[in-house]
Amino acid sequence: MKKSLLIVPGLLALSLAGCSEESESSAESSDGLLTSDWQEISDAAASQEVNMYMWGGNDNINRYLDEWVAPRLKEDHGVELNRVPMNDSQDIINQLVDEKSVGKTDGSMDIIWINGENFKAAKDNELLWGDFTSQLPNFNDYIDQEAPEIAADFGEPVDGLEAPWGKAQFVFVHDENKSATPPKSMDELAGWVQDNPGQFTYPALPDFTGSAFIRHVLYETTGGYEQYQQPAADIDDLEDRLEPMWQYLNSIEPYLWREGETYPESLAKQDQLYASGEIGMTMSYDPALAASEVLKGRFPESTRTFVLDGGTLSNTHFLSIPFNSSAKAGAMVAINEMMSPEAQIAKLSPENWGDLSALDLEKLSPEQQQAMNDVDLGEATLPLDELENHQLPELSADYIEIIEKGWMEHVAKD
Amino acid sequence: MSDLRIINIEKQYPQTKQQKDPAFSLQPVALTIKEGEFFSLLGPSGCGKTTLLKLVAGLMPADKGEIWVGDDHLTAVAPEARRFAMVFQQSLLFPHMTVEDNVAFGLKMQKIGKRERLADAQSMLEHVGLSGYGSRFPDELSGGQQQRVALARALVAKPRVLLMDEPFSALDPSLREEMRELLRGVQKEFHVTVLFVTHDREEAFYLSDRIGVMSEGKLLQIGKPKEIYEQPANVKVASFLGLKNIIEGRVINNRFVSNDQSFEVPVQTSIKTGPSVMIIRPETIRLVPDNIVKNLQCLYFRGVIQQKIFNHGFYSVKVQAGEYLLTCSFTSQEAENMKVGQTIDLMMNNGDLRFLNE
Amino acid sequence: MKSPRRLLNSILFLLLFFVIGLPFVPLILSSVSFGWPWPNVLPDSFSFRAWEYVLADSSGTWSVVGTSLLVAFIVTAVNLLLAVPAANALVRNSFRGKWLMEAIIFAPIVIPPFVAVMGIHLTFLRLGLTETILGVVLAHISPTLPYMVRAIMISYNTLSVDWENQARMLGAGPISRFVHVVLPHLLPGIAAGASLSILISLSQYLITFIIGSGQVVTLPILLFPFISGGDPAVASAYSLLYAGIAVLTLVGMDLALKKYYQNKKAATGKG
Repeated sequence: MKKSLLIVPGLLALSLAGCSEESESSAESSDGLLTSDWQEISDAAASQEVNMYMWGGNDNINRYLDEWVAPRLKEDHGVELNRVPMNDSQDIINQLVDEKSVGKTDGSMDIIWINGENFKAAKDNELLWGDFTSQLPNFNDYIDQEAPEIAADFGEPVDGLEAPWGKAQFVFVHDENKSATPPKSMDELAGWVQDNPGQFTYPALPDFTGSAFIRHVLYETTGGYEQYQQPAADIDDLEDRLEPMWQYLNSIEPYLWREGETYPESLAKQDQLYASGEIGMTMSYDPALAASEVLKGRFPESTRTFVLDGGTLSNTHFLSIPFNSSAKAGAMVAINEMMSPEAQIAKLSPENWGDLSALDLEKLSPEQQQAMNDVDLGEATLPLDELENHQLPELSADYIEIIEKGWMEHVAKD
Repeated sequence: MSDLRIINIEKQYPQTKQQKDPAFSLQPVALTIKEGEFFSLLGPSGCGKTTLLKLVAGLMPADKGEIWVGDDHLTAVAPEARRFAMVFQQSLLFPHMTVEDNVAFGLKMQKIGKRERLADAQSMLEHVGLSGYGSRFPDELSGGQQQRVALARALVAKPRVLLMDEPFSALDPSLREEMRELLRGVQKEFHVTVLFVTHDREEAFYLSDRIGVMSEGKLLQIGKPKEIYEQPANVKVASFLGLKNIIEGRVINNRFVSNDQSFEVPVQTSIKTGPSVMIIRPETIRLVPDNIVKNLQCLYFRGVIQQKIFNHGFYSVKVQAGEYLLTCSFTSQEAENMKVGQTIDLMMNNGDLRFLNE
Repeated sequence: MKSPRRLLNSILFLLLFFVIGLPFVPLILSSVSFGWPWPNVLPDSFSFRAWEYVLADSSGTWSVVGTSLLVAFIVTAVNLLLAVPAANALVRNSFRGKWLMEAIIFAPIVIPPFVAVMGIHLTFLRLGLTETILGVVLAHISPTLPYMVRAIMISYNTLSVDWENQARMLGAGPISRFVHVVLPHLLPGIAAGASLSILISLSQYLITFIIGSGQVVTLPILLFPFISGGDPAVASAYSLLYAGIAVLTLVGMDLALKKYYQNKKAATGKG
């Protein structure tokens, strides 16, 4: 009796090692939502509870969803939006892969916030529901569907699997009091670094932002982005072409923070160094983040951002619906709502979030355009048109992999 | 009648790898303890007396045999349902309960109401001389007091048999005597059947109606204290009882001859021919009075006084006779003129001698 | 006579206070800081932004605290039910394969949880246990049970079988023996094991995250994105809240235990 009781925890521990068997998921567009008209979808959405899985490490973004988006969805459409905080979007994909492998059809993820690599992984593993964006009125009315940054996500065709929610653009962040005239090209940056030893660094790869910084070096030192708009495998002399980039990075290394012996392990660490005044420059793939950090008191009031004359990378982030969402209609209504001009204008405001709009300005009414332009982005953020005029397309994932490996070999190792 | 009957109980311990000793086994024991009797199991440690006690308690399953009380067959009955009580070497008072609650514990298990059981506990505490200690906790009592509480706790539920496993061996000697007195008193008062395990001869002789002497898993002899003392069944019993003056020799033609030939005595026909011992109790040895006519019913011998010690109102005198150093007990009067080195004549009745085949 | 001793006690107390209390000082400062440039010892200015966010209704902090405690207490209760018989068997009996049983029960202490949690996830998905409190509770048992068993085993080691035999000889059946003799003796061990179990359950991130799949949200789930996302103010505020809840829970348990003993004394000590 007592001995058999002892076995219970033992068995429990053993059962943890259970293995998976492959089973095919059945969740496809059987419910007809992909073809029905919007009114039917709205009706089906009413009173649905929608779980939105997204990175939860920014109180502004969390508050924008909890306090601006969720109450409006509830009031106008009867849709209950429940934000689920995640530490890393990669986890969303891992979870969906597991759910797919055991054939779970009643998933709790209804909206996921992804882009780039995660989108590619989700698409390759067929974790996304289907071509739903063409059903969304706001997608049809306000989005420039032909624009390359909307039609493709880091080089991967979107195919209607995800709807654009906002845009990000790479900016450098500096303290006006320390450097009144910031560098406008990679050459000038190299000069600035040498003049201000110990004041510059970038996050060690594979940090997302550190990697993006190096892509700018690639574009400027090897003669522009156009040559990389084809698969990396198609360029025979790629290694030779990358050589000037490694030379550039090694030439500035001795003048970096801690003489380049070490790099901050993440952007968060680098921002901390900037916030505490230890270095004079940082960077961000979010053009309004600096303004919001100023509002939070982390960054000094004299913080400003700048872009290079040759432009900086920009990308789009998207909302998608997983294959096994239990509230697809609700998810569609919620995504449509988050793409509305009102929601996008509110999102643009640094007090809420400060995220660039995904909408095509020219498709908005004059009043909406006015409202968009009237948003006070804060002194640290560049004007929308200046950002828009300096955008460069992203590189596809195969290049990014090569660059990250190369950086370890050519730069970090020496 | 509610006699405790132990019928051919036996127990074999498997030999374990850790212990190098050979497997221990308790030989079949048959024993009847009468209601109200105080019975002691006496023996050296490791002789199996505690094992026997635990078998009777039911704390250990017996391989064979039966336990009865009166007409109740208890062999298969769980210990908690036997209505026995037990006092261990340690008092084992439950530390989180008051003395009162400890004593009332057995009654609580019998679902007796709180008021009644506390009243019973109080009165039992009075019997063991601890009235007024009821609300204390065990750690506030001395070792002797704790053992009194343990005794009270065992008696309060009026057990059919009280089992006691060397209950006083952890106490210091003066306290031990006090406890003996107390136990004897309450045992008589409550007329409780007691099975008492001890290795202390004095304790067993003082308390018991009957004693069973055990050694190496065997019950060697059962009898009243006087019988065992005067007529030990064999050498083992004699030596464990601490009898003095054990003289080795042989029986030939119904006569015992000591190994050094200095003693020769006629024996009864029940003593077989062959190696045997003669036991002379110290108090049966007397000085040979002057001008006496020697007769055949007595054994006479001569010895040299080696040592003379005053011991509790009498003298213990060691006398060298032949190869043997005999211990004799003399009154102060008799010993008055004795000196070490002096040669004296001694005698004893043949009837006081005890012969055992080896 | 007593003063040197009292002095020593005060010094020890201060030392303890510093060792335990000191790490909280920067946490508190950080949670209310508004700009904290590098060489400065103290922040430039203060703001309650982080606390306002953490305590705002919309951030759902209190319901998350409730879930965390609910999970921790159920885990501890289940652990108790499993650990007492397990500890009893491991201490009191010798049987074939005992070392294997011990190894299995104590394995989670040395094997990091993420090794097992992937396998658990697939199994639980199939059993429909993911996204449920029950699933999270079951998954929390593996890292917490070893400590509970260990603590209760130590208590059992000091409980001689004689005590139970004594109770037996006084007519106590198995339940009475457990309630009146074994349980009071195990109580300190149970308290120690339960404290560990609650603390470890409260601090689980990975297991809760994977098995709860976002539908069972505990404090670490809210806290982690802020640590990795580099918002030290909110992360500090959550950390302090976490520490506060943990301390309150432990103090509460301690008080309950003391009260139990006092009641015990009061109930029996009236004379």
